[in-house]
Amino acid sequence: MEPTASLDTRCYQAALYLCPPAFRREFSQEIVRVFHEARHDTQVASPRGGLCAFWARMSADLAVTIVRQWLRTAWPFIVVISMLYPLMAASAIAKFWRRASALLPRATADADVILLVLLTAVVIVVIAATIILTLWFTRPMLYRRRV
Amino acid sequence: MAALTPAVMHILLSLAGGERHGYAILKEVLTQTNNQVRLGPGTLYGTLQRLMECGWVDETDGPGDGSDERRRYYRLSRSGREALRAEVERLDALVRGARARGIVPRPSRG
Repeated sequence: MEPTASLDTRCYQAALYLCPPAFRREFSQEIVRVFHEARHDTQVASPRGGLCAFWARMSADLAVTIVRQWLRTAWPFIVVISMLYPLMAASAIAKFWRRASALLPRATADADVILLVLLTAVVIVVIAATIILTLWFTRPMLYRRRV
Repeated sequence: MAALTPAVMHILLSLAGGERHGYAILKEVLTQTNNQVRLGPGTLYGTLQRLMECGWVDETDGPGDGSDERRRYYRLSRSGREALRAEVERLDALVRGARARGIVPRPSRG
């Protein structure tokens, strides 16, 4: 991209970072170049209304491209699989809690605090486990790309 | 073979005229559709990526006539041309069938 690239071209280039790394590495320069040229031609043809329609069209195209390109990778599947384990664990904890809560005295004010702490812990564990399992499952992919 | 998507069809048709870079493909698609179809750069390169993966489009070094060497040029491969021909024949049969049922007017002979 030229050093005198317009603000919207720079924004578009930054938004391309939302695409999967492999696609971005392969085509981002070309995509930005085409955007820049198309923008220039649109500006020459119709300076005002044309540019608004152009931005709308480009934004929609980029959004669709980001979703399509991520769906082409194995990542969505891996994230879903990674979430299954912690969700199953959370479900087991919930069942355990239902049984354990029957043993706790219902009148104690601390019961709410204990429940809140447990729920927070479960949410944190689910998020952390999803991230860790996702990274674990994608290790071979990341290693292959580096090679 | 499954029907080609409109983006694939337009890109293959634009490359049937010779090798082109990305922006030239977009402009050719605009021309061949009377400004009806405007492909975005994301759609264009996503489609080109798939077409290169299935061997229908190849990347070339460019025309070598002093044009911008930083550009990447693409051309239709033999299998891509065959796929395009098959799709055109399919569409042609479809249009002939529609004409036979009086759905679209017959082409003028004048």
